[in-house]
Amino acid sequence: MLTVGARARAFDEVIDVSAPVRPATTCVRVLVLRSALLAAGRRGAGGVRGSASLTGAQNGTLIESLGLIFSTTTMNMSMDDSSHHGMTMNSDSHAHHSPTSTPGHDHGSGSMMMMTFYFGYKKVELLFPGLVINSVGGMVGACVVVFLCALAYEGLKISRECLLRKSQVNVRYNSMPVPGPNGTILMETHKTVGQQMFSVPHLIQTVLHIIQVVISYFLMLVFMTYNGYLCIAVALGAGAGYFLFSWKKAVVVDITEHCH
Amino acid sequence: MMPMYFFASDQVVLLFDFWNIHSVAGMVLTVVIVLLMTVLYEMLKVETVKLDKKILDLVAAPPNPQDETAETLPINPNSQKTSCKRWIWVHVLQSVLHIIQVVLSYFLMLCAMSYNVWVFLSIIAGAGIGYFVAYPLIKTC
Repeated sequence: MLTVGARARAFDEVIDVSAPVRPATTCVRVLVLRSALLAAGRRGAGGVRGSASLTGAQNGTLIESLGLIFSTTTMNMSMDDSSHHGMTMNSDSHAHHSPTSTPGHDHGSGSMMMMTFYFGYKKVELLFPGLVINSVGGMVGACVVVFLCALAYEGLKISRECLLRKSQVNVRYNSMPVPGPNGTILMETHKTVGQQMFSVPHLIQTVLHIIQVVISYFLMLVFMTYNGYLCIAVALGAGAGYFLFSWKKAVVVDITEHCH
Repeated sequence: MMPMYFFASDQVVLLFDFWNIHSVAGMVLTVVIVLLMTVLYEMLKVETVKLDKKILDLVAAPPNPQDETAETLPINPNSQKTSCKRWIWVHVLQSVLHIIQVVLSYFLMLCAMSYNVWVFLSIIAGAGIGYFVAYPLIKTC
């Protein structure tokens, strides 16, 4: 929990924002508090729990008592599982402060806040610093790119499988006598396939494996943004990729391997 | 606010806004639901394997009469035309199951990311129970 000093420091930072703040409006109050909490949180959990060092100006003043009231309100609001409608985040827009009703979500540092699924397209940070979605067009573009990424991931999986089959070398057939029914002796044939370690197909497989692992982690991180649109894009992309590429898996099969 | 290490607690918010747990009873219910989700995930994987075999049966349809090398292909009662049509539907069903499987796997990953000890244990237990129950259902020929 935030100590008094941290709250005072956080509120101090909020006062420096040049946006015209009208404390009477609930939306704006939440806006102010959310930035205060995030600013305090961004300094790290360790600093928050440190000793409370009040500056003289804030000791027992109206500002500090207001800060206490505001931060408890924020605590209650963040503990509630209300929807994100009131929590419009706009911590660095000084020009205008219109709290719109579209739900937004700030991702300060990963898993700082309680993360639940939401639908929004404002201030969505995606994987890299500076890659922030702020509009419908941006969100549509991001969804398309994520869809294509998931599609490419499924395709890459199947292509690797095909390449592996094509590059099978050292096929050995071992025939072993096996006692069958009625005392007869049957010949059972085992097929062993192998691959050399320092061969070009294996190196290509390794490079493709690295690419596949990286793309899979990127898709996991996209899903971890908890943005509903992006998650749906990942799921549909995986399904479309499976539909488009996985028929190849069914066709390229050995006729002697029908029993796996 | 959320620690990045495992902790045992009765309070958790999982995946959605309404899934907000504050009590032991809620935590027990959460554990049961997550366990069932994991069991469902394992059974979906088994279903995919079974559908794969079914597609193989459909694709390895009646061989050419001149082909003598085919040894013991499974006897396929479907004719060529209906097997093609049926193959598409089985493939669509496989794709839908794949989407559900991907979404479930991501949901389970996010549940594990809550770093709650009970939820994590329920995921592990569900995986074990699911594997135990589902995999023998793959009938080997």
